Amino acid sequence: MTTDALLEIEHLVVSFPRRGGDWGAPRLFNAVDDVTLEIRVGEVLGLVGESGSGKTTLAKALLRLYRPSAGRILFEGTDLAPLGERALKPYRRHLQMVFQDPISSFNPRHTVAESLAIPLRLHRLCPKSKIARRVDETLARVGLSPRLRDRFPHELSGGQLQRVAIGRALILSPRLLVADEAVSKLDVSVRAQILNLLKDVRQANGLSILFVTHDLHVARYLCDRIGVMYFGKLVEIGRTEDVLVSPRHPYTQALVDTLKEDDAAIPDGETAMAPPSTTGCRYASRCAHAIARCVEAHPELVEIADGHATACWRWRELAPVEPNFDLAHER
Amino acid sequence: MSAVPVLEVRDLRTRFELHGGSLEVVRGVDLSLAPGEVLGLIGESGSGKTMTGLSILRLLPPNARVSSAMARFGGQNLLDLSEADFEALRGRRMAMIFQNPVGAFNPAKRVAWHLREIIRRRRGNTNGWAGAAGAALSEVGIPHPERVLRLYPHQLSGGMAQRILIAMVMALEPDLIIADEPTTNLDNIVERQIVRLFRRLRGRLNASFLFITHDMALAKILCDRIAVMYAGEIVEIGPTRELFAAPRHPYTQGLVATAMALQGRATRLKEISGELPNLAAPPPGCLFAPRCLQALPRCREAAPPAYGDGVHRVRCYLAEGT
Repeated sequence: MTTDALLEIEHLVVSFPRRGGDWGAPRLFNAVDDVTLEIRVGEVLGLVGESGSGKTTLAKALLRLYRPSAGRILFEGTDLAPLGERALKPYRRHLQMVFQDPISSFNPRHTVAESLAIPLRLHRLCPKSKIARRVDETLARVGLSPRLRDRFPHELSGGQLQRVAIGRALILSPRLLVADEAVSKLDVSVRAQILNLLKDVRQANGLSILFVTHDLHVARYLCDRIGVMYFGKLVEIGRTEDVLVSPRHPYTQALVDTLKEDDAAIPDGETAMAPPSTTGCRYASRCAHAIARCVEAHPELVEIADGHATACWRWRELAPVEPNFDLAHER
Repeated sequence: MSAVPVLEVRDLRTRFELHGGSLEVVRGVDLSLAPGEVLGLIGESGSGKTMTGLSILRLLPPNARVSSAMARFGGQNLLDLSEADFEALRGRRMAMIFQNPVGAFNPAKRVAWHLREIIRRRRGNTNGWAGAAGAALSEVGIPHPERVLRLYPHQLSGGMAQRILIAMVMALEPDLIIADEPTTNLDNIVERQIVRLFRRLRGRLNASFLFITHDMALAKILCDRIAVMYAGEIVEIGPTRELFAAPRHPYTQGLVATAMALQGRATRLKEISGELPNLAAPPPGCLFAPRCLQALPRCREAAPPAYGDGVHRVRCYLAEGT
């Protein structure tokens, strides 16, 4: 592990009671299953995966919106995992979130200025006399006119509201911003505005961003590193270029193939009917390269090159025949 | 287009009567679909693309008023058609695939019931329906069809439900399929599988396809022609390749630039500043002018007509004389 980690997650497990278990015996289901990763100072880490892969659960758990069942969440040397609400409060201001649906993440009866001022008051970060100025500065920072300060959420468009949501998160000068599908509900032309805004605020503030998305196109544009999740497991992580140019996990390879216009590489058929293996690799039931070993034991995440790690028994054999050099991103 | 179009609509207008006024959400759309053609209808939410599809199929709520100068389907004049006659066309020769596939099923009935109903509708009887249903499911890549036929809709994943709907549409053999964001709720890999399925089946289906989407990258893969909608109007229509190589409307240029940047190597996305106009009080002139970086004074005075030839048309003064 490098020393510039802002947040280190070690063997994190988040479980929920599973519906449909046997009578009297609540069974647990690990939405996040033994995930270890770090978020570095000033980076944008993308977390990609299909719906149900546990990427949102992981994001919420590290903000302690869920209590992890096991594992550690180290923020500047403190383990947040076991802390109660009161002990967490001083850390909350450093860990902020922007949600997918801007409309439902605001109190409909609060004006924009009130919504922005509440975090300042809760954390007692700003003398009362200066709150109004901070609100206006924040609006300007996210590209909104101060004239919007007295508007209600329903009077703003989706793009404007998402800017306010980003402003509400930034007004506390956090160290980490978690953006959960923050652009997927926005219109195409507005999406570019918000992505550019996220890029700008991160550059201006040395902020770290955890960007949760199902859209690899968007992740490629914004993220320095990408982590790929599948059924609660982190199956691959590395620098964006490395993950795109030479993905090693068969699931990542299938995902990266969706970036190409040619659809010859897209895997065939409906395989979702096969339930994921619980003992072995979660992807084994859908994987074209699975061997007996894949069903027997889950592969650990192993570092295969500098900072590029994958959890696949066969990563040595499954190197891409042709690296996708054309998918690399100039930065 | 030389062949007789399957669908031809001129000056389609859809208006909603609301308390204290009305809102025109489709503002004079002209569309024509050749047999077997895939036409992409691209636009953001609120651009009227879904309303255009629903207007063609007469699936709008009662407070909607639809008018058009012409609406022909396979040589039949749709304007003369009574609701009962239209009912016989819809769900038989015209079909729609919706964004939320699971919601398109009757939740209380098994998959088998849905396919049997489709086969009844297609042939008038259900003789040998089980074999035909199984074959249709196999064709869309569903393993163990006999097991899937016994499932209820809530037991299906989104991708599987969408495949089954496509199998149902194939069993129906319609002349026109309107697909409204059929892959938007699906994961990336499943989305591409469904798009490939459409590509494979289009030859077999021999149907015309109106593919409604906000995703330029998908439209590029699937469509022969693309119509770009903005604020209820088609601002540009043309062959897919031409539209991507040389978009002429500034709005199309912005959409293409954003899509290409996300596909390629841009370090910064080109933005289209501002947002969609309020159609309750539309600005005078071109509806895109308030967001347009190339707007001329006349753009804010009068709406531009469509310029161009029969193949590539653009509603923008910048395309005048071409």
